[in-house]
Amino acid sequence: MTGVPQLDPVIHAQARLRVTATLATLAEGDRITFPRLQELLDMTAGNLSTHLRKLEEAEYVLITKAHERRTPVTYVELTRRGRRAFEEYTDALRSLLGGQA
Amino acid sequence: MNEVDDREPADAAAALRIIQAQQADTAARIGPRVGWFFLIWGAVWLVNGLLYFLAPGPVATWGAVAAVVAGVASSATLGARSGRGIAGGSQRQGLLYGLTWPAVMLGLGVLVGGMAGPLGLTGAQLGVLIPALFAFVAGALYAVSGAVWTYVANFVTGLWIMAVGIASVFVGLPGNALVLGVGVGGALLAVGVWELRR
Repeated sequence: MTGVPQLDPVIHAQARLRVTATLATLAEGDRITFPRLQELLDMTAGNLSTHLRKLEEAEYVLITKAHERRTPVTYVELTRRGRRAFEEYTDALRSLLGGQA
Repeated sequence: MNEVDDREPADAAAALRIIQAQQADTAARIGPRVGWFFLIWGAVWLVNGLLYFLAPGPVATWGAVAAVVAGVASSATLGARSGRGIAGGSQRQGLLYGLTWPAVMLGLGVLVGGMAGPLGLTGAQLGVLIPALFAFVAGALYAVSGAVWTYVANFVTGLWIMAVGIASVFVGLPGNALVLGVGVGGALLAVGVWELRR
């Protein structure tokens, strides 16, 4: 092994880690509404928006707006890139822990 | 409330713990608690079996209709609630799976009902054939969904229900109702309790 694996700074913050882990639990190709995500995370809307923006800037999440029965709905999903980044992040954690976890 | 919270996890172990806790919590909250489906349908089978065994006739028929309607309503509510706010492949999969059951069961009822006349089946013969067919087909659906989702408990329960359905034919009236009620209903209730406890 060479060196210590780098932890992705976009994911390596408690709040964004929770957001990413939650989105990664959904099946690939599934998306979740903003309010349901907020409820699952127990975060304020403002707080969640801020973290989602950071994840969106890194192209880890895709945010889409749709209209359902004339009501605007915001959907959030992990992009393929985000899912891969999350997997690499967890792999890095595991190798940091040297298999002791 | 708070500013942008960029606090890092204390260390790698803490980060991994956050991931595991969050994913376990999410999985438990977004998937339907399948144990409840087993309990609902276990209760329906048990109630119907006891009704047909103890009070055959219109009482059992209307009681069974009421029990099935209650089962359908509570399953649909449970399924719709758990997936709320989530769209995509798994939502479609759940919807199609949920619709398969009433389509198959209603279709089976119509099919057997339609053949009763031409085949000249008596009430007593239908009283054995119809519940056995429902059990057999329900068991097959449990088995195939268990196979597709690699959900072994579902698969084994399905095979068991098929076997009970077949056995009920050899028992004949009125014991067949008791065999189905206890054999199918009891198995579903047991799996439901086990599923909710683990």
